Amino acid sequence: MGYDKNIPGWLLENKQAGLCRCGCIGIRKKTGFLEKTINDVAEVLKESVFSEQLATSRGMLQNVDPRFKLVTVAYLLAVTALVRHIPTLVGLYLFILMLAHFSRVPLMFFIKRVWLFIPFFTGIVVLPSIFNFIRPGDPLINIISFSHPVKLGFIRLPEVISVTKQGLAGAGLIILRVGVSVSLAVLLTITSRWGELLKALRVFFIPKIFVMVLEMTYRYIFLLLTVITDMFTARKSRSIGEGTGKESRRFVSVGIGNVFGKAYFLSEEIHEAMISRGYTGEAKVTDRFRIAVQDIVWAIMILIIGIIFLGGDLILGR
Amino acid sequence: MADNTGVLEPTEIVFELNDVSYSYLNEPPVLKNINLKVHRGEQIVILGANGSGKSTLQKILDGLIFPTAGTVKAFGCDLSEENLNDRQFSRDFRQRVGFIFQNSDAQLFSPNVWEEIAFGPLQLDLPKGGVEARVNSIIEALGLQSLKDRPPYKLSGGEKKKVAIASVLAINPEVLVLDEPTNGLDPRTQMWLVEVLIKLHQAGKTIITATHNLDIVKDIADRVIVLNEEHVIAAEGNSETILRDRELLIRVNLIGEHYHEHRHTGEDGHGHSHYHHHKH
Repeated sequence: MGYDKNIPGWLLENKQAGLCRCGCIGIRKKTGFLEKTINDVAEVLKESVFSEQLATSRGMLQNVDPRFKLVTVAYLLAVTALVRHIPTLVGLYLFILMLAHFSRVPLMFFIKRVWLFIPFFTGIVVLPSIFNFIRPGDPLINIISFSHPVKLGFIRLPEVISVTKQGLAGAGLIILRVGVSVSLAVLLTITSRWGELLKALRVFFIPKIFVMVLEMTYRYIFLLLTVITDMFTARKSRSIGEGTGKESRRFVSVGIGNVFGKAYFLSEEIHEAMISRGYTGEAKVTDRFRIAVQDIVWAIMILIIGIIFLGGDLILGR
Repeated sequence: MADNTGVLEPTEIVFELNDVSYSYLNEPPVLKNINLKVHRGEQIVILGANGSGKSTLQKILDGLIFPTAGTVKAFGCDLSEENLNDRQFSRDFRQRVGFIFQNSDAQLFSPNVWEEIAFGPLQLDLPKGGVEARVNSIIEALGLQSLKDRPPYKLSGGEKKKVAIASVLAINPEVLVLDEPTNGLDPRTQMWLVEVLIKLHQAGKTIITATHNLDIVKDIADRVIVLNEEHVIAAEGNSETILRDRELLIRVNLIGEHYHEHRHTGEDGHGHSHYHHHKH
């Protein structure tokens, strides 16, 4: 090929390195941060592809104009915040599950996505309110019984610490309300494409430039994720033996710097590309939204259903 | 020349560069004393090795950066930062000159292909119906129907380049500046691109392509400008003359000494050249 004179001699030797004849020795490498990062990024990309598939499938909510969808979900969120009884919230949740079903969202996925986290976060927040020393009420279960009231600093504990009926009902109401609200938000996001949802935000008078920046951020996250995967995969392909923690930390810090540098240069180039096509700093965007009869029918239906739930809740309160 | 409304009038000379030099901050210059005239309807290739300053020269032609020395005229007017700050001048210039970047990812910043192509016409304040008609027709012309709702990260390299070209053509510029357009493209997409450029040239567009892909030069150049690694114009001439000058191509580090041009002639009498690397 003509380059032989420039290639060092050792590179032209073909020694058979590695792959011992006696085969594997049974000592497995631990999954390191390289594999973990690569897998995590792959997981994010897989999730986004799955969401995109759901958002473009021909389900009930997917066929609604994103602006109508956004406004009606906001309305249902307001209804959720206003109702005060657990049966109404359960009814609302069942209605959301029905919407999810008709929108071709796998129900187990949908339920798990919401309920795996809510008991942890909201549950921890509302936990103290189930006890009688925070919210006095009719005791359901007695936890600890002292012979006299106990004073812990400025907290005065009653003789018997118990879980109260009112406390439990209040906590259940809050957890359920959060669950229903999050379910609505999840249903909205998984049945809409991100770009369309961001554009729909403009019905709430969100400035165009803000929407444009959000759209671009979302678009370039994927590019930078690919850069990170390539960087980590390249490192993995050259990793022989197990690296030290110090080396790994150095690699990550240098990597962060590299990605920052790449993002910076890319942003300059993107700006030039925008200017080249006539961008003057004033965001001009368009959408392809078309209001159809089904959107109006949808809006009226949700309006009526919301009123029914609010009315039902009022009746329950009498 | 610009009239008193700032609108650029048609001229025979599209670009005129006089003693143009450019350096990034206090770095050594990446372009030195460039003198160049580009005529209306010409197809020019700027040939040069990596780092010879092709991209910088093209960014100067597109008014994205401004020379540190010398002057640039576009359509008879000074292409200066001050003039480009004028709304009317800037809009007119941006409509007349389209730039296709080497890195398609920088050029595809919209959420999906349709909106990407619509970006340019929207900035030019076309009515909504006009934008839609224009975008749909360019999508059809370039055969991008199946891609129109796709986000950019779901496009292959070739598809990205096609969309980038469509997004610039949607502005209907009279001058098209392309930076290394065949980089990373498979042979079939390269052929597609060359055919598009030939058609656009036949339609009267001025086409300025920077490349180091010698295989496409003859098809897309009336005139070739060669930049060397000292960042000056090393030679200028028609594509036949430049490509035959092996000494020149070796001197500017575009080919090695074992590169050879091969010419194939088909049964229909049409021929094409390409370059091989091997010893004779």
